[in-house]
Amino acid sequence: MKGTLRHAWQGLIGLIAVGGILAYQFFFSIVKTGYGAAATRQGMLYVFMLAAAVNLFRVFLNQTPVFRIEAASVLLTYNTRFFQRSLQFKQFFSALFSIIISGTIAFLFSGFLLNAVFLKIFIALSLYFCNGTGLSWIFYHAKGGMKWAVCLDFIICTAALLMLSAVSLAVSALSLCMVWICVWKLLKLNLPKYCERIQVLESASVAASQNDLAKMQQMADENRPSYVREPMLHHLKPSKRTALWCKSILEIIRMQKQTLSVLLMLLLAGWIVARTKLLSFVPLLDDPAITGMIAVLCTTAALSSLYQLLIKQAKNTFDKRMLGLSLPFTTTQIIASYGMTAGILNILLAIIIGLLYSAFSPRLLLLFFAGMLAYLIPCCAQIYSARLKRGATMAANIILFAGIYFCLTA
Amino acid sequence: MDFEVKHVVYAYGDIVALNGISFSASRGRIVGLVGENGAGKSTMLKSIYRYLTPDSGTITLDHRDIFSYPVDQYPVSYIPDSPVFYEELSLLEHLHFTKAIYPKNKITIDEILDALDMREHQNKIPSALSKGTRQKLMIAMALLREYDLLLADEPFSGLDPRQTAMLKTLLLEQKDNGKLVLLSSHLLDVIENICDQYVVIRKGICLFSGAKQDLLMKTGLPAGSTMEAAYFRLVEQDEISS
Repeated sequence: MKGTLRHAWQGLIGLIAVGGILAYQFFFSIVKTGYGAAATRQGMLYVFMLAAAVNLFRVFLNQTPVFRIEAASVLLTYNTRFFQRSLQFKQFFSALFSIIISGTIAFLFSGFLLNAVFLKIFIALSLYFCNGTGLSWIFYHAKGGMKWAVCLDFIICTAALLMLSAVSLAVSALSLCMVWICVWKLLKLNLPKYCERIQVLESASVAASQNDLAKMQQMADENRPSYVREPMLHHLKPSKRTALWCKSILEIIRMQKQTLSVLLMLLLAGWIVARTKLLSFVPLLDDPAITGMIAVLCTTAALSSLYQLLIKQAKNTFDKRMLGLSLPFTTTQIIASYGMTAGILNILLAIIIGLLYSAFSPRLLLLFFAGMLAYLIPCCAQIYSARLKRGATMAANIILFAGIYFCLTA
Repeated sequence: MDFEVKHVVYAYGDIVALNGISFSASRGRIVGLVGENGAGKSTMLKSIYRYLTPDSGTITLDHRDIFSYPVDQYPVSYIPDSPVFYEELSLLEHLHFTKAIYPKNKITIDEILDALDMREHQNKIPSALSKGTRQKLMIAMALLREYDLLLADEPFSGLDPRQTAMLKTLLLEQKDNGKLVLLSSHLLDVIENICDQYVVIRKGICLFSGAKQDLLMKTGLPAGSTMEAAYFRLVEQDEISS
């Protein structure tokens, strides 16, 4: 933490400033709260949905336990009063933090007034965040059936928050009681998880101290998932004609989540700039011509990256055919199989872009064809003649940009 | 002869890897390509697999130039020296994929999983497999294809004694089914019991092609001698003559 502050304070200040501005815009432009004026019902719904997204991450996606205790400390002090007291201490501060955050949001919502609206939102959010904390702790340590119970309780609590009534508050309160009874009386800590963590930390620190890059690379490889998730290839019942296509679909499904997230964020960023007023306070971003162009650029970047991934996969399959994974298909058939996947993705993307920009018109067809060309031209160039690769990629990007430009700025 | 290599020459730039190699073989036989590192064994197999195109010479299968076969009709399966996989598919998916694109092969996935003892690893991706299991997967995929000629480049590397015995049995089964198996290996003692014919390559030149008895006769060794002894004698004779 100290190191981060010392070396990246400029970046952190920037992040805090951007966060502050976005929060300000969110509360006062989107939610439309103001001094003496409580937020609209729709505005509240936005914030509750944001809270639900935060809790979703905390409960199901967070890789570290919500009450952070070093693995070594857990193993050394597990059966002692000291451990119980430390855990209580952590839980108290976590609840206090949730209450402070809820209070701040409720205060903003209620138009900076301490009235009944404030109380209602404050209680709802406090209960929701405290429930989330407990559920996250249970989910981290639970096995089997208990995980499903956590999912169910999470859905109930989220529904209760979104409904915001006296009954839903009572349901949330009841859920909180059950969650904390479970945390204190029923739940047993998943100690093997802490043991694994210690082993990984130990090996990582040894490898890092010896500057052993090979060992670090090996650890990274070992920590990759070693099993594939469903759907499996044979569930798709591939035939000779569809096998390559099924494989390419699976490759897309199993693509790195980070890559897909970046693509989605690019699409979303374009939409936020062009279709919302969230960033309209930034100079130039209130001009529709500029925001439109940014949206076109963001969408082009997202689609172009996706096509590059597809091309890479086709090339990979082609190269591996030469290295020993023989395929009874011609090069054209391989390109066509991956082209079919590109076609399906193009249709989906055209629909998504049409929805995001309310641009349903025959011009979406243009976008589809531009997308297909943007895939096929560099793909053929890479496989048939590597010398043309750069030129073909540039031509494909120009075609794609033009297609998106005509579609979005119509 | 069903398969014939005639005066094949291949060079990597200035380095001649194959220098006029010729040999022939029939179906229902296992042919061992033997030689030291860099002799040209893998280059020979890659040329037969059509990964490399020889600078001169011809390779024919059933009296037809191998380069005249369309890609979907070339009846050759290949086990490369270093395993090649689709990283995103599990072991079982690799087999299902191969079975889907070569549906005429009568071997079932269950049979191959049992024969190579790979069931416990079937849902793992290749990077999570041990070296031996990766090698077994390459072998399984090669056997699932439709082929008349099986090329195996160092197929025994990474296999333990039990797995080695298992692979030997599988290769003998292919031979009994009328397939031609071309096998490259350093492990002379391992392939000695299964090969019907040997092609000894040294510095890109074929020193000998024929049965073990003929090799023993050529080298002047007694009938019970090992393949290893015959190989060393042949190399010695070659060094003296050159």
